[in-house]
Amino acid sequence: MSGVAPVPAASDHRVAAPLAAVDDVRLREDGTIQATKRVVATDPYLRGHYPDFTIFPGVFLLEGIIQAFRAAVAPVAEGRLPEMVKLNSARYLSPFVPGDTIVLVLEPHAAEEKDHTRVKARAEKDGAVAARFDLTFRNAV
Amino acid sequence: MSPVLDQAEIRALLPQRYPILLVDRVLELVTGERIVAEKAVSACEPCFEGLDGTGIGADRFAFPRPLLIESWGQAGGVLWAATRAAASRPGPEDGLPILAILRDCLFSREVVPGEVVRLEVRIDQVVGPNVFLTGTASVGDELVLTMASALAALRPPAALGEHAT
Repeated sequence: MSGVAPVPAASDHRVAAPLAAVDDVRLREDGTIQATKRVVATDPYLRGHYPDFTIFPGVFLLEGIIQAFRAAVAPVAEGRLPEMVKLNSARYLSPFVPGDTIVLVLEPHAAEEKDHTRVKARAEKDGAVAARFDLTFRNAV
Repeated sequence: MSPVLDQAEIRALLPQRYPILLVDRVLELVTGERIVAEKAVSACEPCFEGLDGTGIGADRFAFPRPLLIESWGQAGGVLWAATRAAASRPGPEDGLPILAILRDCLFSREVVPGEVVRLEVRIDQVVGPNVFLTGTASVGDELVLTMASALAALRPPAALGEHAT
């Protein structure tokens, strides 16, 4: 991929997280952020969701968006990290299961509120949209 | 206050299990209407594993907001399952509850280990296998989140990729 800059892993942020919800994050020249995550049954929390068969919890897509945004805009944040202060909308169309690869695409825009960023995001599976999101972040301080 | 549903009764209604079963006990339940439940956040939870405190603030130990949504949603799942059971409809085996749409979820406070989250969920409307929920989460008298609207749907496991284990 040309014109992209890889950013550090989300785990570098040293913040409570249910799992490493992105495997890699790239910031593109046009300002969009792209992240991928391969779903594996041994991911933390998944054995309880559910015992008989595994579905990637929908809220973990949100966690992936949060981790991708933090990795892209605040790769070495020492103070307060960007935080999701509002989930304007989330719409889930189809679930992810082990073996699937999640592709997250984030489009950040300046929010109406000062020092906030609005992020429209989608999760894709095999090129099709599996979920859509609209979040507001308070920027890093 | 003694619970109206204990952990055993919660597990009879919810398909989620450790470590993502995020409802500890139910304090109030009016089937078809509303539920008040509690989730105690502990430093032992997997989301805090491997986190060293050196050089970081307490804010880094805030319970992840996606898990707060999950916890609130599971309280709604208990309410909905209890509502279906009270109506003599089949229990959790008639499908798995999946969050389909969330609207205007506003976060106003962090939750850190040692705090107890009060989860309040109200049923707005039930349409076939879909339920519209609304409510709040709070710690003491401080709001943690406000959920304007959540749509959950019952989906048969086969429709969700049962082959995956």
